[in-house]
Amino acid sequence: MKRIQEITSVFATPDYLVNRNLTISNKNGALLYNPDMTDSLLVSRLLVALENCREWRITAKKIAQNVSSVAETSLTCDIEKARDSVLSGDAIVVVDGVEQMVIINLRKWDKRAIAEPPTATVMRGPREGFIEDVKTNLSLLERRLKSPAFAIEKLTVGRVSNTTVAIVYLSNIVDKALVREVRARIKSIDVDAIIDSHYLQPYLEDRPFSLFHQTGVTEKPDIVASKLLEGRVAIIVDGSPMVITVPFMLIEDYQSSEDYYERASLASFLRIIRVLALFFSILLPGLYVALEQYHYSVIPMRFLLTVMTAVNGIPLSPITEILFVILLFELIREASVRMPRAVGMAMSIVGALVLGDTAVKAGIISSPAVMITALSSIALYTAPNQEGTLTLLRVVFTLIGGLGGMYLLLVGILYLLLYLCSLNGFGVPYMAPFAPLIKQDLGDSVYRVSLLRMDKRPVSIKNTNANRYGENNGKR
Amino acid sequence: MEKGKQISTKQFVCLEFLTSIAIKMFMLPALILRTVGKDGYLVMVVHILFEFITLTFLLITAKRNPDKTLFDILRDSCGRVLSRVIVGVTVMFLFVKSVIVTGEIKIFFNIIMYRDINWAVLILPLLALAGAFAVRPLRAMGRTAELITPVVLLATLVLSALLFGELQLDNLLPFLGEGIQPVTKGILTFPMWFGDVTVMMLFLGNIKISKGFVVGAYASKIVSSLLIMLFSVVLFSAYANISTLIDYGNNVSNMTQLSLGSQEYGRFDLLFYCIWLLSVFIKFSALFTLIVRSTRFIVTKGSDHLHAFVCALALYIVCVFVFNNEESVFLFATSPVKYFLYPVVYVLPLFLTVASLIKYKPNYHDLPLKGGLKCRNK
Repeated sequence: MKRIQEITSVFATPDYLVNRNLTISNKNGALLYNPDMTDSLLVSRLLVALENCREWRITAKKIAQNVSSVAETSLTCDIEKARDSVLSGDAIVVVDGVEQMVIINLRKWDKRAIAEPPTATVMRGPREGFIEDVKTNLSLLERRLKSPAFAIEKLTVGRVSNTTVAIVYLSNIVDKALVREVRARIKSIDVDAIIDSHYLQPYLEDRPFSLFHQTGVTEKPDIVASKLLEGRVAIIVDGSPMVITVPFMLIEDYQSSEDYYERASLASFLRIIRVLALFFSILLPGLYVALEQYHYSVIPMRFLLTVMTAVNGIPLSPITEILFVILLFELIREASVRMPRAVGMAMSIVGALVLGDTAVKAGIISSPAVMITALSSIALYTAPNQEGTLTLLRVVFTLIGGLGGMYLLLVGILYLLLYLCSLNGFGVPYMAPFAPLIKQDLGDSVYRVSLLRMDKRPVSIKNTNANRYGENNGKR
Repeated sequence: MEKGKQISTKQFVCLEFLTSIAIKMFMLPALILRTVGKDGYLVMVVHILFEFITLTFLLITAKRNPDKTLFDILRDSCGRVLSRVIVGVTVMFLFVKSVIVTGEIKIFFNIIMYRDINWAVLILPLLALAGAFAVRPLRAMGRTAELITPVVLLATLVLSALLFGELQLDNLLPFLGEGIQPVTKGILTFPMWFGDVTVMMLFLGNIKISKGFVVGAYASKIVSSLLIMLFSVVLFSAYANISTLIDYGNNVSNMTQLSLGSQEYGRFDLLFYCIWLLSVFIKFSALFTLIVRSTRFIVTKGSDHLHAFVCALALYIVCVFVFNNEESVFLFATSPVKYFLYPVVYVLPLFLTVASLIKYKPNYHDLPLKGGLKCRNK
C-alpha cells in the first residue's frame, strides 16, 4: 500500500518490520508493526478483532472502537507520526479509502525489576528505585502523589533516539515560570540521541562547564516525591533510572532520605557528620602537607614527634608522598569498580593490604600519609553524588597546600567559596540557605527540626503554596 | 545599580565587620606604639570615632538614595569631569591602601608563618582572587562574606580569649604621661590604616535596605572596634615601657604565643589567625573591586576583565618593584602624600551625603499629598 511504502521508505532495512495484508470490511488494509517491540499475544488478539470488524461503511473511528478492547488507540493522518509510533512499538492499521490511520499501543519489551538502587542504599524507608522504563517510573511517582495536581508533560528529544522525556511537577505548588524555563531548555536540545538523563544536564545547568553539578540526580522515587512537594520539577528520561530534579542546592547532597525516617536529633547529628566529612575530604591532605612542610610549629609537640619519626627516611617530599598515596587509592577504587566480581575480592586485598602495607614497610610512604588519605577517601563517600567533584578538589588543595602552604590554602578556600556563592540554578542560589542566609530554611539544612515543625515549604525555591500542613494538623 | 544582584542588609553588616577588623590588628598597633608610645591606644580611639562619624554619613546616603551608586552621585552632582577627578584621587587612595594591605600580608606570612617567601610569585594568587571578586556581581562578595563572618568572628573571639589574660592595664598609666603631642602626631600620621568606610562606598546603590540596616551597621562597627581595641591594648600594655624592642612581625601573634605557654599545644593560635586572615583577603578584594569599578568609571571603554587585569598588573608592579620592602610602604603611607589623600577618608563620605541631599531633593510637586488629593494648587 502506498502509505505503508511511504512510512517504510526511509528505513535502512524495512524487512525487519512486519507488514501484514488484511481484509477489513471487504476493503484492503495492512498492519505494520515491529515484532521486537510488540506483545505477540496482543497482536493475535488485534488480528482477531480486525477480522471481526464488519461495518457497512468502515471508518478509522469504527476500527478504533472495535479494537479498543485489545489496546488503547489513536488516529492520525500524519506519516511522520505514524512512523514514530512504529519505531516506539505501536502498530499501524491502514485501510484503502480511509484517510486516517489507526495507531494501536502494543508495546512490550523486557525491563528490569524494581529493586533497591545501588547508589542509595538505606537502612530505613522505602527501597524502591527507578528503572529504565519511563512508564514504570511515572507510576512509582503517581502512586506516591495521587493528586490531580500531579502534572506530566512528555516531550520527544533526539533526532535518532526519539527519547521520551517527561517533565513532572505539582501544578498547585510549583512556580510556573520554572516549568516554562525547564520546558524551553529541553525543547532547545537538538541532538542525535539522549541515551541517559545525564545528557540533559548541560542544558539544564547555568554553568555546564562547572566542576559542580547544578542539578539534583536520584534513583529513588520517595526522594523525587519529596522534592516535588517542595516546588521542584523532576525530569524523567526513558532509558535512564536517574531522575533529574531542579532547582538544586549544594546542601541537598548532604541530606539523605533516611534523615526523614529517623528522629530529628539523630538526623541532625548525621548531617553534621557529613558536612564535617566534606571538610576532611578536601582539606585534610592539603592541610597535612602544608603543616608538615611549612608550619610544623602549629602541630602539638607529641604529634609532631610521632609524625617526624614516621616520616624519617621517607625519600619523597610530603606533597609527592600524599599525591602518590592518593593516586594509589584512586587506582584501587577505579579497578575495583571495573574488575570482574570473580577476581574483585582477591585484587582488593592485593591492592589495599599488600600495596599499602608493603609500601609503608618498604619505607616509600609513611603511615600518617596512608591514614590521612584513607580518612579523606572514606569521607568522600558520605556524599556519593559529590564524589567526583570532591576527588578533584582534594588533589587541587593538596597541590595548593604543598606549593604554598597555609597562605595558598586560604586563597584557594576563599576562591572556592566565592565560586560556590556565585553559582545560581534557575534563580536559586547554590549555597542557600547559608548564603544568602534564609532563616526559615535552616530547619532542614545542616540540622533537621522535627517533622511537626516543618510546616512551610522552603523559601529558597519559589512556590505558589507555602503551607505544607493544614491548620488543624496534629491537634487532638 | 546591579538590578537583582544587590547585597542584602545582613551581607552589608557582615562586610562592614570584616573590612573593619581586617588590617588594624596587623602591624598598626606596633607602628603606633613605636611612634607614639603607650598612649597610642588614644590614636586608635580617635580614628575609630572618626570612622563612626563617616559611617553615619555613609548610612544616611545609602538610606536616602538606595538606588544611587557612588559614581551616580558624583556624576550627577559634579559633572563628568570633576567627578572623574574625584574618583581618580579615590583610586590613588585605594591603591595606597591596597599596597599597605599586601605589604602587611607579606610581613605576616614572611615572619610568622614561613621562613622566607618569594612575594613576587605568591602575590599572584591573591591578585587573581581579588580579580575574581571584581568581575563578579557584588552579590557574590556579599554571600561569601555572610558565609565566613561567623567563622572569622569565632576565631577572633578565641584569640581575644587567649589575649585577655595578658592584659596589663597598669602599664598604660599614667594617662598621657608624655603629653598630648605624641598622640596628635599619631592621629595625623596613621589615617591611611583607617578609613574603612571608603571601601564600603563600593556598595552604595547596591544594598537591599531592610529593617535593622542602621542598627546592624553600628553594631558590627562596635563589635569590630572593641575587638581591635582589645588586641591593641594588650600589645600596648605589654610593650608599654619597652616599645623600642617591638619590631616588624613582633605583633599580637607573639602575645597569643605567650598566652599559650609551652609547645605542648602547638601554635594552634596561628590557625585562628589564618581564619581571621580571610577578612583581610575580603577587604583586599573589596578595595580592588572598587579600584576596578572606579577605573571603569574614568575610562568607560573596555570590559570588566580588561580593567581588572590592568589594575592587577599595576598593583603587581607597585607592590613587587616599587615598594618591594615593608619600610618603603610605611614611609610612603606616612609621608606628606597622606595629606593629599586625607579628603578621601574624611571629606568624601560627608560630600556624598550633602551632594545627594541637594541633588536628589524631592520636588515639591512630586510629593504625595495628604488627604488623598491628587494635585496641588500651583
